[in-house]
Amino acid sequence: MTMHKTLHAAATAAAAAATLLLAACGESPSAELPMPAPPPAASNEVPSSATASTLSWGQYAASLAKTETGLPLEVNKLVPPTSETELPLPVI
Amino acid sequence: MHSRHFRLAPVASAAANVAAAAALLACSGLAQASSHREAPFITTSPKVDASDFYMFSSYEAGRAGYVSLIANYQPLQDAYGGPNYFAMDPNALYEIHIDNNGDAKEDLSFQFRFSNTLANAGNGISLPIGGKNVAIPLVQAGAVANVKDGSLNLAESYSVTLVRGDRRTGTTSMVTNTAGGSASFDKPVDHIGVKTIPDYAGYAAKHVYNVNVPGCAMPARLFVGQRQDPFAVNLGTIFDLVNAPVSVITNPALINAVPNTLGDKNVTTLALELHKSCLKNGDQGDDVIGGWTTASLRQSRLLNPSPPSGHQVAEKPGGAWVQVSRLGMPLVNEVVVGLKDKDKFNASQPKGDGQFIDYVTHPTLPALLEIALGLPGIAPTNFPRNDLVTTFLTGIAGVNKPANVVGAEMLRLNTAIPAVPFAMQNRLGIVGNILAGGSDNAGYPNGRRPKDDVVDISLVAVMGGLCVANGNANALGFGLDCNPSKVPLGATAFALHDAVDQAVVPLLAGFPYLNTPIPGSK
Repeated sequence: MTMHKTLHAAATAAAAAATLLLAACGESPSAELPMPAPPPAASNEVPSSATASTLSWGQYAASLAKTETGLPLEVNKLVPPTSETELPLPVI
Repeated sequence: MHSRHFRLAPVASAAANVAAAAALLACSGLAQASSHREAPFITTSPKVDASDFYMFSSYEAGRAGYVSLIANYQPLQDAYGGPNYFAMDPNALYEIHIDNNGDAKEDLSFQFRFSNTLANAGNGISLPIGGKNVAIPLVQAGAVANVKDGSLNLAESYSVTLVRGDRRTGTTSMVTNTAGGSASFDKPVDHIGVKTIPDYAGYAAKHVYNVNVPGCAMPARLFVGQRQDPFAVNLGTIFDLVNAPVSVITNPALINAVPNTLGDKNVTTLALELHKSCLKNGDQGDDVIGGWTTASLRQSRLLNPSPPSGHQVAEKPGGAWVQVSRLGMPLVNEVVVGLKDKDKFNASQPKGDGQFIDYVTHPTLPALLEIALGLPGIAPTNFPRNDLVTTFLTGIAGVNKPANVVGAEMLRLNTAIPAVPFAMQNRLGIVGNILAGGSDNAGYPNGRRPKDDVVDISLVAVMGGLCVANGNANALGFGLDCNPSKVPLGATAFALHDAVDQAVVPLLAGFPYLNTPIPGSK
């Protein structure tokens, strides 16, 4: 996820830079330069490592950042781990 | 008999203490329904919102020696709330806890888990429409009269697990039906209306189970289902800065001057009745037991953007249980605990109640009443409020204080004090009994019965009624500083009420005691 975010940010920055440069020249960016390739589609599946234990599940769920534009995760096949005896994880 | 007389003497004097403490506690709850939507987070999760908890010696004829435990959830139900009504949350854990040695830790936990299943192997009832079988949109396809009725599209069932010891790591066993041994029980569908369920009382009665509780020699009784909310309060007026003339709320002739704002609401009840020997810590154990209810949710939940067909399949819960609701004494989290700590209180356990001590020793409610009523200088001045500490955190010596008590908030009941028939119960519990010179020591704050008017009792207590009763000689053991000179209202404190009478709420004569729910359609 971190690598993906980095790539996405880099691509976005590159596109923004190109747009600014072209705009400064009075040109339409799409008319002169192809748009940079979109970042690879983010996987919207929960990684299997997240369901290995209640600990990893809690850590994964807590790591999900709020997003205004991202797609929701696909969870139909997901079986989250549960526990009747463990204490909940501390959340800061 | 000797033993009984020995106990009743201290009870009589302690009763006043209890009453006072209860009143104080109730006072803090004065401004609200007992625990309806009392904390910020719980307003987002009504299915796990505990509204009231009752624990009392059963007063139904022929049930001497039994204790009834009643936990109400999902408050403020409008009976017409279809088509899904108010099924319990299958992804939640509902519990009733008992501390039977005074150490502020649960010794017994009754865990309720629910399963809601569509008929026809999860596909629901279908009707042939133009050559196709199509699933219906309602929870019923016709009139309903029996357990597992064929007209029900949604089957609501539950199990009850008894945990001895720590609620998460203790020893578990299943409560089972005395008839057949099943560990699965059916919950009646909510009162959709009199056309769907013409005899709801009879229908619900078929869902009262005689059960075996492992380790308990005496059979118990079990019921889970919708009931009329038994709590009575002048809710809107109270929260609106007590929008009523002082001349009204201090006039004993007007204790039932206005309608109960909850009079048209239902709740969902978890009810257990067990012999006291099943709740005490052995035959020689303390007669005083503590009780409270909690509800928990899984720590994480992912919402499913493309749920499959099924019932309540739009979420994927995981992780450990996280407690989100807690209720013992009425009105504590409502009007005692500060707004910033209400979610914290709901997640807490009695053994950690020291973190909330300032709310009890230095309560804000009396000062808020000064503001609300425009009457500065009427709040009691005995600080710390040991009368409230006694009522809320330790119990009253000689009445409901465990021998080896660790201070903690919970409802405490002396199971050795015999039940009093409904008609003879004092609506003001022990406080009222003291004022009346009666013999009813079986009421709040010695446990809590449905008839006990905890709002009025709390008003009396919070404004110093207990200290008036304590007198200058510390008659009730609240401390010498808790005396009439610290109570500006004087005897007027005993006259306070919210103009809604708890004692006239309709109830059943026996288990599960709470009235048949209001129908969605009459």
